[in-house]
Amino acid sequence: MKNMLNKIRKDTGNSPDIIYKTVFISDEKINIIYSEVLTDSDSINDFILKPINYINNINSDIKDIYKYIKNILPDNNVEDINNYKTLLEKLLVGYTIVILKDKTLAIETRKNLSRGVSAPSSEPSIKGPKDGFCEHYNTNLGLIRRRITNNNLFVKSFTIGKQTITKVGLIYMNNIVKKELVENISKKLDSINIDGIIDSGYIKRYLEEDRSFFPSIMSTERCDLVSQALLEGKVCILVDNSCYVLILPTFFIDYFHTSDDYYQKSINISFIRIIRFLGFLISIFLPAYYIATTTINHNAIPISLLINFTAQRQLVPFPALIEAFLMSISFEILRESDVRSSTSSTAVSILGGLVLGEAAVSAGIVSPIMIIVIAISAISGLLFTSIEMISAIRWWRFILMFLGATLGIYGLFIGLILLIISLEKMNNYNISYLSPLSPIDLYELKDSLIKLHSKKKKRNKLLSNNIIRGRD
Amino acid sequence: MKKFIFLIFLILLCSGCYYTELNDLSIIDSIGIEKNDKDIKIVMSIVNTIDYKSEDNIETSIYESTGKNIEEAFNNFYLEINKTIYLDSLNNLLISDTLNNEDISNIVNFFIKNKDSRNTFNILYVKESSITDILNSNLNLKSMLMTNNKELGNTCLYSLEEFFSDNYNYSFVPTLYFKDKVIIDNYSIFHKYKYIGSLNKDESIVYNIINNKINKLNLNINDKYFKILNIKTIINNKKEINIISSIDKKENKTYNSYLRKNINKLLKKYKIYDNYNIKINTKYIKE
Repeated sequence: MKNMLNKIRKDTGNSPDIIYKTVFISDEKINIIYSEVLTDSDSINDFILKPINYINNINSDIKDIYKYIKNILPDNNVEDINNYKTLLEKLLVGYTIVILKDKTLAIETRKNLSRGVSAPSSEPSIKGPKDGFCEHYNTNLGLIRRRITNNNLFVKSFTIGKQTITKVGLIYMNNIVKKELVENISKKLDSINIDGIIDSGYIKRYLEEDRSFFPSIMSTERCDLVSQALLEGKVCILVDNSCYVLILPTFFIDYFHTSDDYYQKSINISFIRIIRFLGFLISIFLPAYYIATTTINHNAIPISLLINFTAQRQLVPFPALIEAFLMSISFEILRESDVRSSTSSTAVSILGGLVLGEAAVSAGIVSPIMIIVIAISAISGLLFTSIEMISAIRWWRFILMFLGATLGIYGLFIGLILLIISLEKMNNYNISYLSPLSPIDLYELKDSLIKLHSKKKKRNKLLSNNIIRGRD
Repeated sequence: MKKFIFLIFLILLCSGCYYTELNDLSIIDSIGIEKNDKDIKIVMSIVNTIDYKSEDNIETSIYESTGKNIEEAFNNFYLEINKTIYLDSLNNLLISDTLNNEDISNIVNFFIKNKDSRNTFNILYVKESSITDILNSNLNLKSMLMTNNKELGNTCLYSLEEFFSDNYNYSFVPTLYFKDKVIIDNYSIFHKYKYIGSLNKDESIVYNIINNKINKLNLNINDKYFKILNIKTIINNKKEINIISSIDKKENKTYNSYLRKNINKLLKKYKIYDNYNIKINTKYIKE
């Protein structure tokens, strides 16, 4: 036993948070080992030390102390440990190890280190449920199960990460999902060989089948969105210690939808979706169009506007493309500093938006119209909750700006064609990323760029073979 | 990667020729062309974007250049201002009476062949006046033409494209004089780019009525003012010219005889609509 304790000390680097305690029952020495940062001291007192003390107090003659302890401990998670590796694993996830002669028990005494269920911060809900995922695997799974109380909600468990040994769950509706999709994703998860998974974002790159700028996997904090996706026939991936659940596969059109869309009137939602789509187009094309028309295709804007633009640009020394890049990068810096420094974000916004913008115009570095163009374009890009979508829009905006400055409006059309081709050929688990626009699915189009007032009765046939809703 | 670099190189190679920043653009409002001895003189009114304040208050600067022909005059102009001439913004082309038909033909061909020119700008014939004086007056000639067309009915907008297509028939080009102030109130007539004469003010009004170029006008006949509305002219295969209109005074006869007299003068002068019967139908309407 002494050897084992020394081995544990050695293997854990004699870490000060690992506590070694020795108690006696009828002169029998019992070693208790736990990590004080991972375990709940009340649980150790109530479920381990108090029962042992009770045995000592009754002072009865116990033949098999190990068996007696195992039975008397009022914890539902008591396990026999047969090898040293498991012992270490259990110790490091918050179990208390009880060593008695040559036998070892692991008793779950984990401290609750989770922050609890709170409202999703990155995807605020206007009219929908306010509970969001947290960092605790079981809590997150519970939030999904609470919504889908059906035995067909299957969870396939994986352990990924050589160092972190992180629990990953593949969740799907067994009666809805296409089996090939589950098998395909399971294989990919099995093949992941990585040091550790700190967040669900770590495994995203292993699951993404395409290197496109546009996201094919959606990560969300919202439980209702995950539940909706599962009922559509999609697969969700839950990762321990991550409050973001991955949904896959996704369609391009999914990024224009929110789960709130299904809690409000269709006509209002259609309007909002059109606004989102316009925002997408403005965000990608507006700076490029401005550059194209002010450098090559001057005849594409009315003369009075052209005179106005020319007057505003008289003192600007940079070409329009450089001016646009300067402004775009300034905006990205401001946005990043705004996101990172939550305490001084208002000050950053005021300083960046008002002071620097005004000063840049006065100093003749940029023209006022360029500030308007970049601001409208950047704000339009922020209509989306997915950070990957915002980033994709940003990259395409830069590509189109370059094409606009070199080939004019002709370049914009080339860019538009390239954009459509890149979306069309995206490898997305053998499912068209542009569905239902390509291939055209008239039924699904009713809930795409606009939402028609219809009680949706069918699922997307690309996602499920069980396409009739309300059937087992 | 090689393909990508090649593509970028190709794009940069293809793009250079057409790239012009707004700062390097001369936005032309009007161009006047006249003959100075044997040389062609171009007068350009360029929008002054540095002192631009508002759309209603656009100031222009006048630049001049000369050359043996129009191409050379334009090249000299490029060298002088060192900026790209933006012809798409051109509103008016003023051709002087000092130019002969060959010069006018060259000018029209120059603009028609120029891909930067929209060719929908107005063409005006300047008589017995200096183009520099007219352009220096900084008047909005297009707006003047439109007002004349809507209120007085004596001229209308006439584009270079129309001038080019009417080449083998008669071209009726609004005529501009500068005598203390700019006056546009009649047409000059060209045939194969050659000036062959002009209409007086009343004949110009009648020409516009026959050709459906106006549908209302304020008319002064012997110091009496009439408001003519709903003007419509139908010329049919039976060689008839039917003019239908409404008048605000019960003096149809005065108006009808004015029309008949001037139409006869017009047709006699230029032999258009030979042997056509003229039918005039005027109704009195109470305003």
